[in-house]
Amino acid sequence: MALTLHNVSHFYLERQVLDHISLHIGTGRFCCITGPSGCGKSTLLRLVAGLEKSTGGAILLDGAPVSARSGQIGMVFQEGALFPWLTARKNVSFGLEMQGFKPKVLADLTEEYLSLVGLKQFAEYYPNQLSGGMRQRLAMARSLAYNPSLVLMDEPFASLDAQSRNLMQAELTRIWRETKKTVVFVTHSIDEAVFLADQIVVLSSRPGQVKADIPIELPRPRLRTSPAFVRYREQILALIENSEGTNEW
Amino acid sequence: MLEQAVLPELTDLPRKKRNKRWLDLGLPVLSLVCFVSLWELSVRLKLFALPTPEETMKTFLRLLVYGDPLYAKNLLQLTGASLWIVAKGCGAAFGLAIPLGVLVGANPYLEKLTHPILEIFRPVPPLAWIPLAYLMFSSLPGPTRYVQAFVVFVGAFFPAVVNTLHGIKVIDPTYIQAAKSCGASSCQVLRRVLLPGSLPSILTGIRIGIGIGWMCCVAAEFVGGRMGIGFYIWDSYSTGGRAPEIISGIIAIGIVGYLLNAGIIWLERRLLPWR
Ligand SMILES: Nc1ncnc2c1ncn2[C@@H]1O[C@H](COP(=O)(O)OP(=O)(O)OP(=O)(O)O)[C@@H](O)[C@H]1O
Ligand SMILES: [Mg+2]
Repeated sequence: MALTLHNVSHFYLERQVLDHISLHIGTGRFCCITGPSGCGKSTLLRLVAGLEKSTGGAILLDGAPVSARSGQIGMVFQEGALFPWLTARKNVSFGLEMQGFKPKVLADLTEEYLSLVGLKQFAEYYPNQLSGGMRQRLAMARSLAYNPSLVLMDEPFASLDAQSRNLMQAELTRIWRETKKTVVFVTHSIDEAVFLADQIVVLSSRPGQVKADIPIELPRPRLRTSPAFVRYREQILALIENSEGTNEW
Repeated sequence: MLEQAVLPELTDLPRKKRNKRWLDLGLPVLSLVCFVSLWELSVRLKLFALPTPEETMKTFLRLLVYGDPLYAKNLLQLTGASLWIVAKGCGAAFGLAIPLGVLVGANPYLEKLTHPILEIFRPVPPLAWIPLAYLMFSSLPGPTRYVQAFVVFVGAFFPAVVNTLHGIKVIDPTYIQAAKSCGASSCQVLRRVLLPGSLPSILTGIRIGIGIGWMCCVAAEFVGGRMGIGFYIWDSYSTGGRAPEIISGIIAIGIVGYLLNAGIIWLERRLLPWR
Protein backbone atom coordinates (compact mmCIF):
# COMPACT_ATOMS: atom_id res chain seq x y z
CA MET A 1 0.00 0.00 0.00
CA ALA A 2 1.46 3.33 -1.06
CA LEU A 3 1.37 6.29 1.31
CA THR A 4 1.28 9.84 0.02
CA LEU A 5 1.44 12.98 2.15
CA HIS A 6 0.62 16.18 0.37
CA ASN A 7 1.45 19.48 2.08
CA VAL A 8 0.51 18.16 5.52
CA SER A 9 0.59 20.83 8.22
CA HIS A 10 -0.42 20.51 11.83
CA PHE A 11 -0.99 22.95 14.66
CA TYR A 12 -1.43 22.37 18.38
CA LEU A 13 -3.36 25.48 19.36
CA GLU A 14 -1.27 28.34 18.03
CA ARG A 15 1.90 26.36 17.63
CA GLN A 16 2.81 24.86 14.30
CA VAL A 17 4.31 21.40 14.69
CA LEU A 18 4.42 20.25 11.07
CA ASP A 19 4.89 22.49 8.05
CA HIS A 20 3.91 21.37 4.54
CA ILE A 21 5.19 17.83 4.72
CA SER A 22 5.09 16.11 1.34
CA LEU A 23 6.23 12.51 0.98
CA HIS A 24 5.66 9.47 -1.12
CA ILE A 25 6.35 5.98 0.14
CA GLY A 26 5.82 3.23 -2.39
CA THR A 27 4.11 -0.10 -1.75
CA GLY A 28 6.25 -2.52 0.23
CA ARG A 29 8.92 0.07 0.90
CA PHE A 30 10.65 0.62 4.23
CA CYS A 31 10.89 4.31 5.12
CA CYS A 32 12.77 5.64 8.15
CA ILE A 33 11.97 9.08 9.51
CA THR A 34 14.50 10.84 11.67
CA GLY A 35 14.82 14.30 13.14
CA PRO A 36 15.45 16.21 16.37
CA SER A 37 13.41 15.50 19.48
CA GLY A 38 10.11 17.37 19.38
CA CYS A 39 10.12 17.96 15.63
CA GLY A 40 6.80 16.19 15.22
CA LYS A 41 7.66 12.61 14.23
CA SER A 42 5.16 11.01 16.60
CA THR A 43 2.58 13.59 15.61
CA LEU A 44 3.12 12.71 11.96
CA LEU A 45 2.55 9.02 12.68
CA ARG A 46 -0.65 9.77 14.63
CA LEU A 47 -1.91 11.77 11.66
CA VAL A 48 -1.10 8.99 9.23
CA ALA A 49 -2.80 6.46 11.53
CA GLY A 50 -5.93 8.59 11.51
CA LEU A 51 -5.81 9.08 15.28
CA GLU A 52 -5.76 12.85 14.85
CA LYS A 53 -6.85 14.98 11.96
CA SER A 54 -4.24 17.20 10.33
CA THR A 55 -4.88 20.92 10.27
CA GLY A 56 -4.10 21.03 6.58
CA GLY A 57 -3.06 18.93 3.62
CA ALA A 58 -3.96 15.44 2.51
CA ILE A 59 -2.88 11.98 3.63
CA LEU A 60 -3.71 9.29 1.12
CA LEU A 61 -3.39 5.52 1.21
CA ASP A 62 -3.45 4.25 -2.36
CA GLY A 63 -5.20 7.50 -3.21
CA ALA A 64 -7.91 7.28 -0.50
CA PRO A 65 -8.11 9.21 2.79
CA VAL A 66 -7.06 7.35 5.95
CA SER A 67 -9.29 6.05 8.73
CA ALA A 68 -8.22 4.34 11.94
CA ARG A 69 -11.10 1.89 11.74
CA SER A 70 -10.19 0.38 8.41
CA GLY A 71 -7.71 -2.16 9.75
CA GLN A 72 -5.26 -1.15 7.03
CA ILE A 73 -2.83 0.40 9.49
CA GLY A 74 -0.88 -1.12 12.35
CA MET A 75 0.92 1.10 14.84
CA VAL A 76 3.70 0.34 17.29
CA PHE A 77 3.88 3.12 19.84
CA GLN A 78 6.94 4.81 21.28
CA GLU A 79 6.14 3.37 24.72
CA GLY A 80 4.88 0.01 23.46
CA ALA A 81 1.40 0.67 24.80
CA LEU A 82 0.64 -2.99 25.44
CA PHE A 83 -2.46 -3.49 27.53
CA PRO A 84 -1.14 -4.51 30.96
CA TRP A 85 -4.41 -6.26 31.84
CA LEU A 86 -4.18 -8.67 28.92
CA THR A 87 -1.85 -11.64 28.52
CA ALA A 88 0.57 -11.73 25.61
CA ARG A 89 -1.87 -13.90 23.67
CA LYS A 90 -4.82 -11.58 24.35
CA ASN A 91 -2.75 -8.56 23.37
CA VAL A 92 -2.01 -10.14 20.01
CA SER A 93 -5.62 -11.16 19.42
CA PHE A 94 -6.92 -7.70 20.43
CA GLY A 95 -6.58 -6.20 16.97
CA LEU A 96 -8.08 -9.32 15.39
CA GLU A 97 -11.10 -9.04 17.69
CA MET A 98 -11.51 -5.36 16.82
CA GLN A 99 -11.46 -6.29 13.14
CA GLY A 100 -14.14 -8.90 13.72
CA PHE A 101 -12.22 -12.04 12.75
CA LYS A 102 -13.97 -15.38 13.27
CA PRO A 103 -12.86 -17.20 16.46
CA LYS A 104 -11.16 -20.05 14.63
CA VAL A 105 -9.15 -17.80 12.30
CA LEU A 106 -8.46 -15.49 15.20
CA ALA A 107 -6.94 -18.26 17.32
CA ASP A 108 -4.80 -19.53 14.44
CA LEU A 109 -3.49 -16.09 13.51
CA THR A 110 -2.74 -15.30 17.15
CA GLU A 111 -0.59 -18.42 17.46
CA GLU A 112 1.08 -17.72 14.14
CA TYR A 113 2.14 -14.20 15.13
CA LEU A 114 3.16 -15.23 18.64
CA SER A 115 5.59 -17.70 17.11
CA LEU A 116 6.65 -15.23 14.43
CA VAL A 117 8.05 -13.01 17.19
CA GLY A 118 9.23 -16.00 19.24
CA LEU A 119 6.86 -15.61 22.18
CA LYS A 120 4.93 -18.86 21.96
CA GLN A 121 6.14 -20.06 25.35
CA PHE A 122 5.18 -16.75 26.90
CA ALA A 123 1.61 -16.60 25.61
CA GLU A 124 0.09 -16.58 29.09
CA TYR A 125 2.48 -14.00 30.52
CA TYR A 126 1.34 -10.47 31.27
CA PRO A 127 3.38 -7.61 29.74
CA ASN A 128 4.94 -6.70 33.10
CA GLN A 129 6.36 -10.23 33.30
CA LEU A 130 8.19 -9.85 29.99
CA SER A 131 11.56 -8.26 29.26
CA GLY A 132 11.82 -4.98 27.36
CA GLY A 133 12.77 -6.72 24.12
CA MET A 134 9.95 -9.24 24.48
CA ARG A 135 7.48 -6.42 25.03
CA GLN A 136 8.62 -4.70 21.85
CA ARG A 137 8.25 -7.92 19.88
CA LEU A 138 4.81 -8.41 21.37
CA ALA A 139 3.81 -4.88 20.38
CA MET A 140 4.99 -5.68 16.87
CA ALA A 141 2.96 -8.89 16.81
CA ARG A 142 -0.13 -7.05 18.00
CA SER A 143 0.06 -4.51 15.19
CA LEU A 144 0.96 -7.08 12.52
CA ALA A 145 -1.51 -9.84 13.38
CA TYR A 146 -4.57 -8.35 11.69
CA ASN A 147 -2.52 -7.97 8.53
CA PRO A 148 -2.46 -4.21 7.97
CA SER A 149 -0.78 -3.21 4.75
CA LEU A 150 0.89 -0.19 6.34
CA VAL A 151 2.84 -0.46 9.60
CA LEU A 152 3.87 2.63 11.57
CA MET A 153 6.57 2.21 14.18
CA ASP A 154 7.59 4.93 16.60
CA GLU A 155 11.12 4.38 17.93
CA PRO A 156 10.25 0.80 18.84
CA PHE A 157 13.80 -0.17 19.80
CA ALA A 158 14.86 3.02 21.58
CA SER A 159 14.85 1.45 25.04
CA LEU A 160 16.84 -1.64 24.08
CA ASP A 161 20.54 -2.27 24.64
CA ALA A 162 22.76 -2.20 21.55
CA GLN A 163 22.89 -5.98 21.22
CA SER A 164 19.16 -6.70 21.40
CA ARG A 165 18.63 -3.71 19.20
CA ASN A 166 20.73 -5.21 16.42
CA LEU A 167 18.96 -8.52 16.83
CA MET A 168 15.56 -6.85 16.63
CA GLN A 169 16.57 -4.94 13.52
CA ALA A 170 17.53 -8.18 11.80
CA GLU A 171 14.31 -9.75 13.04
CA LEU A 172 12.22 -6.86 11.76
CA THR A 173 13.93 -6.99 8.38
CA ARG A 174 13.07 -10.67 8.17
CA ILE A 175 9.42 -10.12 9.14
CA TRP A 176 9.13 -7.19 6.75
CA ARG A 177 10.47 -9.25 3.86
CA GLU A 178 8.16 -12.16 4.73
CA THR A 179 5.04 -10.04 5.06
CA LYS A 180 5.77 -7.46 2.33
CA LYS A 181 4.28 -4.52 4.17
CA THR A 182 4.88 -0.83 3.73
CA VAL A 183 6.68 0.41 6.85
CA VAL A 184 7.20 3.88 8.29
CA PHE A 185 9.75 3.67 11.07
CA VAL A 186 10.77 6.58 13.30
CA THR A 187 14.22 6.45 14.83
CA HIS A 188 16.89 8.67 16.32
CA SER A 189 19.64 6.30 15.31
CA ILE A 190 21.24 6.96 11.93
CA ASP A 191 22.85 3.55 12.05
CA GLU A 192 19.43 1.95 12.53
CA ALA A 193 17.92 4.01 9.73
CA VAL A 194 20.62 3.08 7.21
CA PHE A 195 20.42 -0.56 8.23
CA LEU A 196 16.64 -0.79 7.78
CA ALA A 197 15.50 1.75 5.22
CA ASP A 198 14.87 1.92 1.50
CA GLN A 199 14.30 5.61 2.01
CA ILE A 200 15.31 7.99 4.80
CA VAL A 201 13.39 11.16 5.49
CA VAL A 202 15.15 13.77 7.62
CA LEU A 203 12.93 16.32 9.34
CA SER A 204 14.03 19.69 10.65
CA SER A 205 12.66 21.24 13.76
CA ARG A 206 10.08 23.88 14.77
CA PRO A 207 8.09 23.55 12.68
CA GLY A 208 8.90 20.12 11.26
CA GLN A 209 9.76 20.29 7.59
CA VAL A 210 11.22 17.74 5.20
CA LYS A 211 14.90 18.56 5.08
CA ALA A 212 15.96 15.60 2.96
CA ASP A 213 14.44 12.51 1.38
CA ILE A 214 17.21 10.07 0.52
CA PRO A 215 16.83 6.69 -1.19
CA ILE A 216 19.13 4.04 0.27
CA GLU A 217 20.34 1.68 -2.39
CA LEU A 218 22.15 -1.04 -0.49
CA PRO A 219 21.76 -4.77 -1.04
CA ARG A 220 20.28 -6.82 1.79
CA PRO A 221 21.29 -8.32 4.13
CA ARG A 222 23.27 -5.22 4.98
CA LEU A 223 26.67 -5.07 6.52
CA ARG A 224 27.27 -2.16 8.87
CA THR A 225 30.97 -2.12 8.10
CA SER A 226 30.66 -1.99 4.31
CA PRO A 227 32.06 1.22 2.74
CA ALA A 228 28.73 2.07 1.11
CA PHE A 229 26.95 1.75 4.47
CA VAL A 230 29.45 4.05 6.12
CA ARG A 231 29.13 6.57 3.28
CA TYR A 232 25.36 6.77 3.75
CA ARG A 233 25.80 7.24 7.48
CA GLU A 234 28.19 10.09 6.97
CA GLN A 235 25.97 11.71 4.37
CA ILE A 236 23.02 11.76 6.74
CA LEU A 237 25.08 12.76 9.73
CA ALA A 238 26.43 15.74 7.77
CA LEU A 239 22.89 16.73 6.82
CA ILE A 240 21.83 16.76 10.42
CA GLU A 241 24.89 18.49 11.80
CA ASN A 242 25.35 21.41 9.42
CA SER A 243 21.77 22.49 9.79
CA GLU A 244 20.90 21.93 13.39
CA GLY A 245 24.14 23.18 14.82
CA THR A 246 23.49 23.46 18.51
CA ASN A 247 20.05 21.90 18.42
CA GLU A 248 19.37 18.99 20.70
CA TRP A 249 19.13 15.85 18.55
CA MET B 1 16.68 -26.45 35.42
CA LEU B 2 16.52 -29.45 37.71
CA GLU B 3 19.69 -28.51 39.51
CA GLN B 4 18.48 -25.01 40.10
CA ALA B 5 15.25 -26.31 41.54
CA VAL B 6 16.96 -28.73 43.87
CA LEU B 7 19.93 -26.69 45.02
CA PRO B 8 18.18 -24.18 47.25
CA GLU B 9 16.55 -27.10 49.12
CA LEU B 10 19.97 -27.98 50.42
CA THR B 11 20.77 -24.51 51.64
CA ASP B 12 19.07 -22.63 54.44
CA LEU B 13 16.25 -21.37 52.18
CA PRO B 14 13.57 -23.68 53.63
CA ARG B 15 14.49 -22.69 57.15
CA LYS B 16 14.18 -19.04 56.28
CA LYS B 17 10.82 -19.75 54.73
CA ARG B 18 9.67 -21.61 57.81
CA ASN B 19 10.85 -18.77 60.02
CA LYS B 20 8.88 -16.37 57.90
CA ARG B 21 5.74 -18.48 58.19
CA TRP B 22 6.10 -18.51 61.96
CA LEU B 23 6.48 -14.75 61.98
CA ASP B 24 3.46 -14.28 59.70
CA LEU B 25 1.36 -16.29 62.11
CA GLY B 26 3.10 -15.46 65.36
CA LEU B 27 3.15 -11.68 65.20
CA PRO B 28 -0.63 -11.24 64.80
CA VAL B 29 -1.22 -13.69 67.66
CA LEU B 30 1.31 -11.81 69.76
CA SER B 31 -0.44 -8.51 69.16
CA LEU B 32 -3.79 -10.02 70.19
CA VAL B 33 -2.24 -11.50 73.33
CA CYS B 34 -0.72 -8.13 74.24
CA PHE B 35 -4.02 -6.38 73.70
CA VAL B 36 -5.97 -8.82 75.88
CA SER B 37 -3.30 -8.67 78.59
CA LEU B 38 -3.45 -4.88 78.71
CA TRP B 39 -7.22 -5.08 78.89
CA GLU B 40 -7.04 -7.62 81.77
CA LEU B 41 -4.49 -5.45 83.56
CA SER B 42 -6.52 -2.27 83.26
CA VAL B 43 -9.58 -4.03 84.65
CA ARG B 44 -7.63 -5.45 87.61
CA LEU B 45 -6.13 -2.06 88.34
CA LYS B 46 -9.67 -0.67 88.13
CA LEU B 47 -8.66 1.90 85.52
CA PHE B 48 -11.94 1.43 83.65
CA ALA B 49 -15.24 -0.02 84.77
CA LEU B 50 -15.06 -2.84 82.22
CA PRO B 51 -15.75 -6.57 82.35
CA THR B 52 -12.74 -8.86 82.12
CA PRO B 53 -11.76 -10.35 78.77
CA GLU B 54 -12.86 -13.75 80.02
CA GLU B 55 -16.29 -12.55 81.03
CA THR B 56 -16.69 -10.78 77.70
CA MET B 57 -15.56 -13.80 75.74
CA LYS B 58 -18.15 -15.94 77.51
CA THR B 59 -20.86 -13.42 76.73
CA PHE B 60 -19.69 -13.21 73.13
CA LEU B 61 -19.87 -16.95 72.64
CA ARG B 62 -23.23 -17.15 74.42
CA LEU B 63 -24.59 -14.40 72.18
CA LEU B 64 -23.18 -16.09 69.13
CA VAL B 65 -24.63 -19.53 69.90
CA TYR B 66 -27.76 -18.96 72.03
CA GLY B 67 -28.46 -15.31 71.34
CA ASP B 68 -29.80 -12.66 73.67
CA PRO B 69 -33.08 -13.67 75.36
CA LEU B 70 -34.13 -10.02 75.62
CA TYR B 71 -34.22 -9.75 71.84
CA ALA B 72 -34.56 -13.40 70.86
CA LYS B 73 -31.71 -12.97 68.37
CA ASN B 74 -28.13 -14.16 68.17
CA LEU B 75 -25.13 -12.19 66.96
CA LEU B 76 -25.33 -13.62 63.46
CA GLN B 77 -28.93 -12.51 63.07
CA LEU B 78 -28.14 -9.06 64.42
CA THR B 79 -25.14 -8.48 62.14
CA GLY B 80 -27.01 -10.16 59.29
CA ALA B 81 -29.80 -7.59 59.54
CA SER B 82 -27.24 -4.77 59.39
CA LEU B 83 -25.42 -6.40 56.51
CA TRP B 84 -28.64 -6.59 54.54
CA ILE B 85 -29.06 -2.84 54.91
CA VAL B 86 -25.46 -2.34 53.81
CA ALA B 87 -26.03 -4.59 50.81
CA LYS B 88 -29.02 -2.54 49.71
CA GLY B 89 -27.38 0.83 50.29
CA CYS B 90 -24.07 -0.18 48.69
CA GLY B 91 -25.78 -1.91 45.80
CA ALA B 92 -27.65 1.25 44.93
CA ALA B 93 -24.56 3.41 45.52
CA PHE B 94 -22.26 1.34 43.31
CA GLY B 95 -24.92 0.85 40.67
CA LEU B 96 -25.11 4.60 40.30
CA ALA B 97 -21.58 5.69 41.19
CA ILE B 98 -19.60 3.43 38.87
CA PRO B 99 -21.42 4.26 35.61
CA LEU B 100 -21.47 7.92 36.64
CA GLY B 101 -17.76 7.87 37.46
CA VAL B 102 -16.97 6.28 34.09
CA LEU B 103 -19.03 8.83 32.18
CA VAL B 104 -17.70 11.80 34.11
CA GLY B 105 -14.13 10.54 33.92
CA ALA B 106 -14.36 10.05 30.16
CA ASN B 107 -15.97 13.40 29.43
CA PRO B 108 -14.26 16.64 30.53
CA TYR B 109 -17.46 18.65 30.08
CA LEU B 110 -19.45 16.34 32.31
CA GLU B 111 -16.65 16.60 34.82
CA LYS B 112 -16.84 20.38 34.94
CA LEU B 113 -20.61 20.10 35.17
CA THR B 114 -20.66 17.69 38.12
CA HIS B 115 -17.56 18.92 39.92
CA PRO B 116 -19.20 21.57 42.16
CA ILE B 117 -22.01 19.24 43.25
CA LEU B 118 -19.68 16.37 44.03
CA GLU B 119 -17.23 18.57 45.87
CA ILE B 120 -19.87 20.28 48.00
CA PHE B 121 -21.65 17.12 49.11
CA ARG B 122 -18.58 14.92 49.44
CA PRO B 123 -17.28 16.47 52.70
CA VAL B 124 -20.69 16.23 54.41
CA PRO B 125 -20.58 13.36 56.96
CA PRO B 126 -23.18 10.78 55.85
CA LEU B 127 -24.76 10.85 59.32
CA ALA B 128 -25.65 14.51 58.85
CA TRP B 129 -28.23 13.30 56.35
CA ILE B 130 -30.19 11.30 58.94
CA PRO B 131 -32.65 14.02 60.04
CA LEU B 132 -33.34 15.09 56.47
CA ALA B 133 -33.66 11.48 55.40
CA TYR B 134 -36.37 10.90 58.05
CA LEU B 135 -38.26 13.85 56.60
CA MET B 136 -37.74 12.63 53.04
CA PHE B 137 -39.00 9.12 53.74
CA SER B 138 -41.64 10.04 56.36
CA SER B 139 -44.53 9.19 54.06
CA LEU B 140 -43.30 5.62 53.50
CA PRO B 141 -44.25 2.74 55.80
CA GLY B 142 -41.28 1.99 58.09
CA PRO B 143 -39.13 4.95 57.10
CA THR B 144 -36.23 3.81 59.29
CA ARG B 145 -35.23 1.06 56.87
CA TYR B 146 -35.05 3.57 54.07
CA VAL B 147 -33.18 6.10 56.15
CA GLN B 148 -30.54 3.55 57.12
CA ALA B 149 -30.07 2.33 53.56
CA PHE B 150 -29.91 5.94 52.41
CA VAL B 151 -27.18 6.81 54.89
CA VAL B 152 -25.20 3.76 53.75
CA PHE B 153 -25.82 4.88 50.17
CA VAL B 154 -24.38 8.33 50.84
CA GLY B 155 -21.39 6.88 52.66
CA ALA B 156 -20.57 4.39 49.91
CA PHE B 157 -21.40 6.60 46.94
CA PHE B 158 -18.64 9.20 47.13
CA PRO B 159 -15.63 6.93 47.51
CA ALA B 160 -16.95 4.81 44.63
CA VAL B 161 -17.59 7.72 42.30
CA VAL B 162 -14.35 9.53 43.09
CA ASN B 163 -12.19 6.44 42.68
CA THR B 164 -13.88 5.37 39.45
CA LEU B 165 -13.53 8.85 38.01
CA HIS B 166 -9.89 9.02 38.97
CA GLY B 167 -9.26 5.53 37.59
CA ILE B 168 -10.63 6.54 34.20
CA LYS B 169 -8.74 9.82 34.12
CA VAL B 170 -5.32 8.35 34.82
CA ILE B 171 -5.55 5.76 32.03
CA ASP B 172 -2.65 6.44 29.70
CA PRO B 173 -4.16 7.97 26.52
CA THR B 174 -1.72 5.88 24.51
CA TYR B 175 -3.79 2.79 25.42
CA ILE B 176 -6.83 4.44 23.90
CA GLN B 177 -4.87 5.36 20.78
CA ALA B 178 -3.46 1.84 20.58
CA ALA B 179 -6.99 0.42 20.68
CA LYS B 180 -8.18 2.88 18.07
CA SER B 181 -5.23 2.13 15.82
CA CYS B 182 -6.35 -1.52 15.92
CA GLY B 183 -9.75 -0.33 14.73
CA ALA B 184 -11.69 -0.15 18.02
CA SER B 185 -14.95 1.82 18.09
CA SER B 186 -15.73 4.17 20.98
CA CYS B 187 -17.86 1.47 22.54
CA GLN B 188 -15.03 -1.04 22.25
CA VAL B 189 -12.60 1.48 23.73
CA LEU B 190 -14.96 1.80 26.70
CA ARG B 191 -15.39 -1.93 27.22
CA ARG B 192 -11.90 -3.10 26.36
CA VAL B 193 -9.71 -0.23 27.60
CA LEU B 194 -11.46 2.17 29.96
CA LEU B 195 -13.22 -0.46 32.06
CA PRO B 196 -10.35 -2.93 32.53
CA GLY B 197 -7.89 -0.06 32.91
CA SER B 198 -9.89 1.53 35.69
CA LEU B 199 -10.93 -1.72 37.37
CA PRO B 200 -8.22 -1.47 40.06
CA SER B 201 -9.50 1.95 41.07
CA ILE B 202 -13.13 0.85 40.86
CA LEU B 203 -12.40 -2.05 43.21
CA THR B 204 -10.59 0.28 45.61
CA GLY B 205 -13.67 2.52 45.54
CA ILE B 206 -15.88 -0.47 46.28
CA ARG B 207 -13.66 -1.57 49.14
CA ILE B 208 -13.59 1.87 50.75
CA GLY B 209 -17.30 2.34 50.04
CA ILE B 210 -18.30 -0.90 51.73
CA GLY B 211 -16.11 -0.05 54.73
CA ILE B 212 -17.70 3.36 55.14
CA GLY B 213 -21.15 1.95 54.41
CA TRP B 214 -20.74 -0.56 57.21
CA MET B 215 -19.72 2.15 59.69
CA CYS B 216 -22.60 4.37 58.60
CA CYS B 217 -25.08 1.56 59.00
CA VAL B 218 -24.07 0.87 62.60
CA ALA B 219 -24.24 4.56 63.41
CA ALA B 220 -27.61 4.99 61.72
CA GLU B 221 -28.99 2.11 63.75
CA PHE B 222 -28.21 4.04 66.94
CA VAL B 223 -30.76 6.64 65.97
CA GLY B 224 -33.82 4.60 65.19
CA GLY B 225 -35.25 1.22 64.41
CA ARG B 226 -35.31 -2.04 66.30
CA MET B 227 -32.95 -4.17 64.26
CA GLY B 228 -29.29 -4.63 63.61
CA ILE B 229 -26.06 -4.70 65.54
CA GLY B 230 -25.90 -0.92 66.02
CA PHE B 231 -29.33 -0.92 67.58
CA TYR B 232 -28.31 -3.82 69.79
CA ILE B 233 -25.28 -1.99 71.17
CA TRP B 234 -27.19 1.19 71.80
CA ASP B 235 -30.09 -0.62 73.41
CA SER B 236 -27.77 -2.69 75.60
CA TYR B 237 -26.41 0.59 76.86
CA SER B 238 -29.84 2.21 77.41
CA THR B 239 -31.28 -0.79 79.23
CA GLY B 240 -28.65 -0.65 81.91
CA GLY B 241 -25.08 -0.55 80.68
CA ARG B 242 -24.62 -4.18 79.77
CA ALA B 243 -20.91 -3.80 79.07
CA PRO B 244 -20.12 -7.42 78.04
CA GLU B 245 -22.93 -7.29 75.47
CA ILE B 246 -21.76 -3.92 74.18
CA ILE B 247 -18.18 -5.11 73.77
CA SER B 248 -19.37 -8.31 72.09
CA GLY B 249 -21.30 -6.18 69.64
CA ILE B 250 -18.22 -4.07 68.97
CA ILE B 251 -16.13 -7.16 68.37
CA ALA B 252 -18.76 -8.50 65.97
CA ILE B 253 -18.74 -5.21 64.06
CA GLY B 254 -14.97 -5.31 63.85
CA ILE B 255 -14.89 -8.91 62.64
CA VAL B 256 -17.53 -8.27 59.98
CA GLY B 257 -15.70 -5.15 58.78
CA TYR B 258 -12.47 -7.09 58.59
CA LEU B 259 -14.11 -9.92 56.65
CA LEU B 260 -15.75 -7.51 54.19
CA ASN B 261 -12.40 -5.88 53.49
CA ALA B 262 -10.62 -9.22 53.19
CA GLY B 263 -13.33 -10.41 50.81
CA ILE B 264 -12.81 -7.50 48.46
CA ILE B 265 -9.04 -7.90 48.61
CA TRP B 266 -9.52 -11.55 47.66
CA LEU B 267 -11.74 -10.45 44.80
CA GLU B 268 -9.12 -7.91 43.69
CA ARG B 269 -6.54 -10.67 43.47
CA ARG B 270 -8.87 -12.79 41.40
CA LEU B 271 -9.94 -10.01 39.06
CA LEU B 272 -6.55 -8.34 38.67
CA PRO B 273 -4.08 -11.15 38.03
CA TRP B 274 -1.90 -8.72 36.07
CA ARG B 275 -1.25 -6.54 39.07
N1 LIG C 1 -1.33 16.34 22.27
C1 LIG C 1 -0.53 17.42 22.13
N2 LIG C 1 -0.95 18.65 22.49
C2 LIG C 1 -0.14 19.73 22.35
N3 LIG C 1 1.11 19.67 21.89
C3 LIG C 1 1.59 18.48 21.52
C4 LIG C 1 0.81 17.29 21.63
N4 LIG C 1 1.55 16.25 21.19
C5 LIG C 1 2.74 16.77 20.83
N5 LIG C 1 2.78 18.10 21.01
C6 LIG C 1 3.89 19.01 20.69
O1 LIG C 1 4.22 18.79 19.36
C7 LIG C 1 5.63 18.78 19.18
C8 LIG C 1 6.03 17.52 18.48
O2 LIG C 1 5.80 16.40 19.35
P1 LIG C 1 6.12 14.93 18.90
O3 LIG C 1 5.79 14.03 20.03
O4 LIG C 1 5.45 14.64 17.61
O5 LIG C 1 7.69 14.99 18.68
P2 LIG C 1 8.71 13.82 18.30
O6 LIG C 1 9.41 14.26 17.07
O7 LIG C 1 8.01 12.53 18.28
O8 LIG C 1 9.72 13.88 19.51
P3 LIG C 1 10.56 12.67 20.18
O9 LIG C 1 11.67 12.37 19.24
O10 LIG C 1 11.06 13.25 21.43
O11 LIG C 1 9.62 11.53 20.37
C9 LIG C 1 6.23 18.93 20.55
O12 LIG C 1 6.69 20.25 20.68
C10 LIG C 1 5.11 18.65 21.51
O13 LIG C 1 5.23 19.49 22.62
MG1 LIG D 1 8.08 10.83 19.43
